[in-house]
Amino acid sequence: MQPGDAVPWLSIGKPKTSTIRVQHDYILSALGGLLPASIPLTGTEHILDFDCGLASWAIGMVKTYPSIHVTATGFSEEELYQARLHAHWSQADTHINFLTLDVNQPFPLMDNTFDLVHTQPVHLLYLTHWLPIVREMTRVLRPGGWLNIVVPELGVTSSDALNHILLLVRHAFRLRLYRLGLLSEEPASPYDPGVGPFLYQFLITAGLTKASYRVHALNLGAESKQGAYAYAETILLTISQFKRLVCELELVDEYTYDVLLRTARKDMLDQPGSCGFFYLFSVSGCKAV
Amino acid sequence: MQVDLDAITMAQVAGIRIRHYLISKELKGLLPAVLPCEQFQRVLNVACGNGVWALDFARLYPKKHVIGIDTRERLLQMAREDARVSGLKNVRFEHFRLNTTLSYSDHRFDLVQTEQSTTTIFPYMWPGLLCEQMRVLKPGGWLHMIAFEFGPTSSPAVNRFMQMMREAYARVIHAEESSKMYITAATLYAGMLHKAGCQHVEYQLYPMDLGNQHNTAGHDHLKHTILTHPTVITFLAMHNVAPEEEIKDLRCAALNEIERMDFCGAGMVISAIGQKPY
Repeated sequence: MQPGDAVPWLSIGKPKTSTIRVQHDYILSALGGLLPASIPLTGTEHILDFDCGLASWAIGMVKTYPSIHVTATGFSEEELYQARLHAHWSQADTHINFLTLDVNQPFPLMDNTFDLVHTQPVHLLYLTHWLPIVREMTRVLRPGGWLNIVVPELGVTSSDALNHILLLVRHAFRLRLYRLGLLSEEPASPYDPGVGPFLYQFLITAGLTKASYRVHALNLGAESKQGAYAYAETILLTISQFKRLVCELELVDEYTYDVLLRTARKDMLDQPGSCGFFYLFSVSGCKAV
Repeated sequence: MQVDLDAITMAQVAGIRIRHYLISKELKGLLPAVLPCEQFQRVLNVACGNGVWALDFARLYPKKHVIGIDTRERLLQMAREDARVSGLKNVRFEHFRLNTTLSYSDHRFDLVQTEQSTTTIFPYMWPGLLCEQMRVLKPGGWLHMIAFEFGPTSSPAVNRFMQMMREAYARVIHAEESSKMYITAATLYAGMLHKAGCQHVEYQLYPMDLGNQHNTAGHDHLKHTILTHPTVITFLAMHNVAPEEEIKDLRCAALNEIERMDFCGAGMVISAIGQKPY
């Protein structure tokens, strides 16, 4: 792969649809709803769902608000195939149209088109790529329209093996972008946070008004609440898919990675009293009238 | 570096007060709602500091009895004075030493409450301390442990400063090989309660905003407890995480960055409970 071909997101293999579905449902339960109560939906008809995954959110919106139409985007037709099927099975496909976006390019969408732009991305996007994306989202919003972004951020767990491996994965992702020529500086520290706490700033920089954020907890303790065990399993599965990248970058060897992953699984899924969390940042703002 | 003892004590008191306010706001009270507070007649408050929690409990429940214990005699003196001035007769404060048995009989208390004390109780001390807490707890009594953990922010200086704190703390507790992702042992509480023999163990998470937009308790806690505490720079320099001048410059940058109107950050209150079996 040449740097010119590279994209600022990193998709590791093909996440299973069951993984995406479990993660979406669990995040939705942590948020307490499809949207923050502060976002008014009166008069909302056209919505953009950026990086829609399986279109679960879009389907949820269409089912809840039958007059709404959603444009749901992904990064490839292959990706959107599952989303289309999901929308069809859910009998929501007449209200959702799907669009492939090249995240390196301006959105092929007119200015001031959408009443609401939402994203809960299923792909990893690096910090420096978010501001241009937020600007594009703002451009296609109509004046008075709302932007809503939801992203998880690493917290801490009772499993030091899991803590270690999450740091390795985060560092590997950034290092890979740097080696592809997509970052100007080598990542300094695996402890530097992801985009979550910076989104508020980005929305203000992009000129949105009434910008606000809320912090939620994504509980990783397997016995802590309904859905937590399944969610923790998906995290471990996702981490296992990063093994090759982490080892190719020589951050650890394969044996060490396997030991960490096995220990993390035992700590989080088998030990009574396992505890942990991710932070979930939900950020919104309104395009000035 | 010579540090004014009074300044240290006052900084500790300010930090404890701010954290207490932050936590009780999130819990909407002094204890998680799930605990049967009406059943608690005798309460032990471990690592009570200057007694803010114990004094509030004593005021709220004049017929219940609270004993607050801590290793820091200076703070206990303040707590006793506050109790005297407030006319509270149902609370007292006693000194205790870590790694020794508690000077109370078996099955004495209905509730043992511990709020984090990262500077005095380290993770490897907890098993012994919990064993003692279980001993003095009545069958059917409850343990409650609670702490606050700082998370990611939009300030590179704050993030770096917090990471230095975690690294220094890892050195203090001889855990240099750990992930250094935390300062408190809060995510270990539920597991510890299980190992101590508790039943009905559960934990709750209360996410906190560290920014300026709404509830500023988290912001105040970040600013006062971590960034302005007089001993923090000494603590970091002593554990060789960076030269003192670099730490001072970083703290200065952090204090500026958290005052930006677009500053954003998150933390988490973690509260764990467990019941001693009958």
